[in-house]
Amino acid sequence: MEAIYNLPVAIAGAIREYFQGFGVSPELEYLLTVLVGGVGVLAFIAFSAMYLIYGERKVAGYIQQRYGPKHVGPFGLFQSFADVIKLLGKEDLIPDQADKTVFTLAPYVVFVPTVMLFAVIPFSKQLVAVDLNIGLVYFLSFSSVSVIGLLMAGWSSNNKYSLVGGMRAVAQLITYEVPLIFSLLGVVMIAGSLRLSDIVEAQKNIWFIVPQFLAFLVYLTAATAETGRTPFDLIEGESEIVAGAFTEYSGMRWALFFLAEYTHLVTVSFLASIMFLGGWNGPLLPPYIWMLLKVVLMILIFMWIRWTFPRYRIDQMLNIGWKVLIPVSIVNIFLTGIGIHVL
Amino acid sequence: MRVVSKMYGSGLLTGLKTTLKNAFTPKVTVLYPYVKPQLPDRARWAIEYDADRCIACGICEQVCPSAALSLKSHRDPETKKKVVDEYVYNQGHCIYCGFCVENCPTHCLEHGKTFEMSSFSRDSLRRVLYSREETGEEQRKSEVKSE
Repeated sequence: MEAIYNLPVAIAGAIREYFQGFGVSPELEYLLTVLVGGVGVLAFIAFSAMYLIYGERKVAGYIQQRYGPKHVGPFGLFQSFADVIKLLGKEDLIPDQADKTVFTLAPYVVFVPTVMLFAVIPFSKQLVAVDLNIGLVYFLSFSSVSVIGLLMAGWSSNNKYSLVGGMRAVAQLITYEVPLIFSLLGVVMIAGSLRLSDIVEAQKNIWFIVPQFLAFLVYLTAATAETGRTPFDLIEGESEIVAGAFTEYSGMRWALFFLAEYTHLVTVSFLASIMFLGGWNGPLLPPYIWMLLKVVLMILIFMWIRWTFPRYRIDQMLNIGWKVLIPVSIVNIFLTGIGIHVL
Repeated sequence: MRVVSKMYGSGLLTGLKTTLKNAFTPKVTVLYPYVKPQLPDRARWAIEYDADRCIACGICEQVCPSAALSLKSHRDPETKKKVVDEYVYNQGHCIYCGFCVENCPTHCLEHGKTFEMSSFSRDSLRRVLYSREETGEEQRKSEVKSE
């Protein structure tokens, strides 16, 4: 049992010893271990994004009483590889009058900050890249950076539909930043710290979803809007404005946006598990297994919501953001404050 | 004042419950080609021809809107009746309207149930359903030639 519990630590130790065997200086050995860790996180992101796409198609299929991908590989598991190979083979189109630099940079501005969020996510007590004491602030601020990427994509495409899509995307994303942050403030007040591992430690006895259920619902709604998923998927309206800001993107550039969306889903689910579902706390199983199980549960909830509800109009969506979620989250903070004072 | 009998937002929960239930119900997909679909009784697919009953009247050829049927016959000198020599069904032109089946006086045409009819050449879609040369002098019930 001990072995399974300490498996990630044992792997990290083994890698460090392997580098030590070369007789290099401690700094270089540390650097190489960190590099291996970084590559590991990137591999995790790539595979999770690919298999989330497969999972989404399967979940969508089952909800719609049909099978998802079935034929490529056992249970259709190699479908993602087939899709990636197809996308790699596509022609790289840049519209003639498009702003080439901005057009090329936009996918990276959307994707890179989302990947950078993995620096502060604790997979378990010992498995965190950088345990910042303002981890939550880092997390929320970097998830806001990708908004500018969507505006860049919409503007540089030299296409009125893309521009409209980009503007709508920016409106939506900055609207829902506010309730996202406010809903987490209640948790921070109870835990007394912005460090993500401290917040998980504070949930040893009771998961914060219980005292902060209202905040959890606000977070769920705001996170669905932040990732641009149905019912808030106006960003890529699909049936309305072709693909919104991504209309002119083809092949791997579009795939990068797509990967960014699914990576953002993963990070948002991680944050929900850390803040509301008790992180790595749980009986019997090793902590990192609990963490992954909770993340998978949150992802399934997001997918369930996606394939149930129809899309909101832009005015309905902004109404909900400004007029419903912000007051509710402020009331939640107020009640949390009273609760902390009284109890 | 209207009394609201349901909790605000209960519609959302009903929707979620329905989709969750749907996720565990049997699938409606027919896994063709591993599983063949169940065709209805009155499904109208490729024509089947009984040469024994055919009196070579040519009604089917005349009534067909796409000119998919063609009939060659001769008059038997002894019985003075027409006898079919060759019956060709051009499946590529057929629109499966069923006029030939409806109008045949001896009911020698009927709709079959073969729907897997794709082929690699247009010529192979022109099917000779009965040919006196092949079967010899005796009339035999023709069998639908499959690809």
